[in-house]
Amino acid sequence: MIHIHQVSKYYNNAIPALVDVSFKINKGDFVFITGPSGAGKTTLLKMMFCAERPSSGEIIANSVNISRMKPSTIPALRRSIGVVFQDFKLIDNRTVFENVAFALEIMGVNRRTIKKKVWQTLKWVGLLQKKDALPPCLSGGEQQRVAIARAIVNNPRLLLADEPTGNLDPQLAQDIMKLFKAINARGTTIVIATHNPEMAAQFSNTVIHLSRRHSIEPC
Amino acid sequence: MSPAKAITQFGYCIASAFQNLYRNLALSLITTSTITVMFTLCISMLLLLLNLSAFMETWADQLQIIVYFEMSAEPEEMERVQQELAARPEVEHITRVSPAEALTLLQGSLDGQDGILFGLPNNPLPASLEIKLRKPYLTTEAVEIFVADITRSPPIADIEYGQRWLEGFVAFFELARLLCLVLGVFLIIFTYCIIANTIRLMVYSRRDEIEIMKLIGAGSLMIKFPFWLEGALQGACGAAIALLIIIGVETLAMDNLATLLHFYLGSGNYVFLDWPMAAVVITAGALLGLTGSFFSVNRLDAHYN
Repeated sequence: MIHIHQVSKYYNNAIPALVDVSFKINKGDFVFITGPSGAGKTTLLKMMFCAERPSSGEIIANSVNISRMKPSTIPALRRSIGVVFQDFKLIDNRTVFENVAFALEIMGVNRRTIKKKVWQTLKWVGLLQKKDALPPCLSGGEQQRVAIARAIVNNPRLLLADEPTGNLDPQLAQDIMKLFKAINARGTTIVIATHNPEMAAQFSNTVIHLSRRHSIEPC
Repeated sequence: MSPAKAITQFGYCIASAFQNLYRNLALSLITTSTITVMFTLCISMLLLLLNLSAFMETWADQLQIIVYFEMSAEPEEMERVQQELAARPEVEHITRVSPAEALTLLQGSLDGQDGILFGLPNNPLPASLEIKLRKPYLTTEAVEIFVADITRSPPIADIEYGQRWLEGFVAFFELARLLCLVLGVFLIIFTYCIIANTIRLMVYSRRDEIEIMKLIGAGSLMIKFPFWLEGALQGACGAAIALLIIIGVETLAMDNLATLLHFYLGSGNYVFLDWPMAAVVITAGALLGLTGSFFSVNRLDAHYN
């Protein structure tokens, strides 16, 4: 599904963020990318949804070289991928329902379908009773579940999550990971970047370890 | 994307613009208020300019040249001069005033003090021609050329058109008009800068929202269009409120304003914006808001790209 081939990223043409990274992710995989802070996990994830461009190398997703995509085609790629950010990236002045619905509005889905799908998704992540709340009124765990709901509401084939449990306490982190497992069970490929190797070992048998920005150690 | 989906998306963009105005009510009100203040100043300046122009036109309509004949002028000579002048392209209307008619007019204008004329042994007023020029020739230069062209030889004794007064008056109003125009242009540029910067601040305060939209996969137009529409709506609303303020002030002060105009300028014809002009003002507001948000959002979009 995704083939990362000899990808390197240098900031300002000098500071290395990633050096010569290669690996493959198959359809339906549940993959963890681990490594210490500064190893390049976030950079790698960002390159997978075109928020960053590799300095060299190629990223092939579903036979499309996304590292050379035209800027005008990037929104379409992003609409086919779900992304969960560590800082949630929710729009503060929109309700939970509106935040999730926005992912469908940008696809031109009609109002009735949006209502149905958002309702189902919020119910699935256990936030239906909070659908009219604004994100700042929610706990960290609830905000993360809203972000997950927004990422999965359009049934993406691939879900990327950057430190999705980084801001949560251990119990909430376990709950969120169980949610990801459930999403994976529905057929969605999941790639999670985390600095927590224990969690990675607990929830998946495919762990890609980034060390000193360039070593890849599939476990 | 199918046409049906594109139409649905367009509908979301419009709805989103209205929702955003409501969600960011404080910011929207600040922006609209700024536009209102600036437009109130601009419209006031425009009204001043319009009224000055209207006054100049009214005054020009009343301008007439009087050709006085010698007391000894024969009727045939006066008829010949009248026909010669009437044949000129500048002349719209020409009336001969006999000495008797002139005396009657003078008596009427003395308003109850006409007794002073009773002691006169005979009518001292000469016959005259009152000439009204056509509109294109109602300028200082054209009047001067016309007067200079008339031969001041018998039977013509004198020609009067208030030369000094006319020159001073026209110079004053031309200067006032120029001042209004310069101030107006300056005010429009200033207004545009204020509005563009206010909208830029509004857009900038929502940069996180724009970034999130981009990360989720919203297309460029889907992000920008609601902002453009918001800018246009705020501009149009600001201009419309400014118009309402001016209409309110005009309604309250109309009586006093008309009296003042009549007292100082001798004209009570106060010109106000008509409906087409009001529509132009509102459209200008919308365009100003639109361009302000257009450049602000584009700049931010380029930054994220």
